[in-house]
Amino acid sequence: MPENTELKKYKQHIVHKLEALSPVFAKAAIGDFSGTVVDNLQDEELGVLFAGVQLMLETIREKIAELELASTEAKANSAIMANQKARDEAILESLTHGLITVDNLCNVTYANQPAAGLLGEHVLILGQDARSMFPLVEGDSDELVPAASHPITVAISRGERIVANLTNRHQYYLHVNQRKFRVSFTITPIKRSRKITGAAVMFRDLTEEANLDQTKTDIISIASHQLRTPLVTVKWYASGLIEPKIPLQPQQQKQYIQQIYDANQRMIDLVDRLLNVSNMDLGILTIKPEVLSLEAILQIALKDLAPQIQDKLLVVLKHIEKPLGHIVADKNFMQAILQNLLANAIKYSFPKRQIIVTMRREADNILIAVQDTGVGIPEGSKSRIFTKLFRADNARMMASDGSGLGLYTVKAMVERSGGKIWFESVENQGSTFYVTMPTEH
Amino acid sequence: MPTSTQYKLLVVEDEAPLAQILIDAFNAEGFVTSHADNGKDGLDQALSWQPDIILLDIVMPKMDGITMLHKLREHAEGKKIPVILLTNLSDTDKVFDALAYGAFDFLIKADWSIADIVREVKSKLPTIGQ
Repeated sequence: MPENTELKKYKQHIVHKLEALSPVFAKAAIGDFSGTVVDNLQDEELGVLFAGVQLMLETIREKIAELELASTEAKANSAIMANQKARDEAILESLTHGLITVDNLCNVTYANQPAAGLLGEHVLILGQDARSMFPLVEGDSDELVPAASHPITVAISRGERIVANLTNRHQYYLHVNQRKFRVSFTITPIKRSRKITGAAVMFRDLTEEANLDQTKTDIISIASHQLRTPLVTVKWYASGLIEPKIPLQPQQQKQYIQQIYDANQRMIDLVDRLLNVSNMDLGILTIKPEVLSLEAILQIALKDLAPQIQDKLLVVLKHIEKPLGHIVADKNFMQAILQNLLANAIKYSFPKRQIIVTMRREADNILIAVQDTGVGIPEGSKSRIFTKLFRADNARMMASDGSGLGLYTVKAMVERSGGKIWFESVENQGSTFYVTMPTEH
Repeated sequence: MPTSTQYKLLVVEDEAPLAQILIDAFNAEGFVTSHADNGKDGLDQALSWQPDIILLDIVMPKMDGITMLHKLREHAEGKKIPVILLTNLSDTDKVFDALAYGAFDFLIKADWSIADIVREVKSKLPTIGQ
């Protein structure tokens, strides 16, 4: 059957019209969507098709433009991000605090240099459990805080920030690098869309602040305890003097004034000692080393203590090597050291016994020994005898006026002078305190 | 009319100057006084001498005031003797213990002049002959 001529013509007519699309698709095939069929939109028969193609082209072009813009922005952003990252790292590294971040399994994801310094380079390993690298001990305990109750665990599991600082009830110590030191830390959970993804642990060595804080507390405590009695003494005697209802003989009045004077002297002495201790603790005591004769200093100390020696009917024996030579030390320090050791020997000696002071050369040092026969130091108190504010029970029983500052100060002064101090003691037999001081070169 | 001459006062205080002025002041008022400088001696004197009233310091060597009070109350001869504690502000906790052991009252040392202490103690004593 011969083809319908009309139909054939129509086909050709349509194909002809459709040819308008070929350059458009040819370009599109190589990624160019700039073609257009805008001239054909009015076509009676294929207008809808051309409109569709035109819309498709325009949409593709818009999308491409959007993508290009986004890509440019992304490039710009990534440059900004890189800058930010560099800046953040600089900040993190310049912190004086240690900083580590952990993931939600407590494994370390980042650590700054100070963190490595505090915890030990060899200890701090990325990807490993932070709790074993950040081993905490609480208060006086020797037991490590177990992983389950470790503050990092708690911060992550509860999503709460955990803070331990100087004023905190909980005192935490880090036990790393063969040393145990007080730390402050802030553990902040890291949250992303309400999910906890880890935590940032910021921490610092608190030793120095804790020591200063302790000194402050100690001084307030000593001041309030030791100043009370002389203050009450002054109040009572002064009130006795001014109270018209208590008639006092002139002799009694003089006694009362003497009591006020003595109590006042006690307070002055105490304030001096407190000041010494606080200066020592704060490291602001200036020392002036000079060439000294220990014998001369011993003479002065014994003269000062003569009344107490007489009261207890004690005899002081001196075994001093001749020639002894000289030491180089601060005169006030050396006086205070000898005075304190002798005063203790006298105070804790039994009456009518001997106190033996030995001084002799030993290599580059002069050894000083002060020996008494008396109450001695109980075994259980020996390890704490140089501790600030410590007084052994038997010392407390004998005399209630000790401040617990003497031997602490003596030890600090001896060590500041480059010397050493130690003792031997047997309870109810007596004590010998030894000090070595470097000789003059 | 009986006077306070008949009252016996025991001062148990280790700080010699404080004990001395208390004794001076109460002697001047006609009290018969005695002094102990630690709780152990204070307990012995209280039991043997039977004072009408005891002024008792807390922090002392050998035996502290709270222990002395506790032991005093364990003896029949020591059950009824009125004890006034001489305390420092920081002894508050111990004061509660002492009141539980039957301390009569307490005076914070730094709050009182010597004449006020004498007046206060006299006001606590029962009138003679009652």
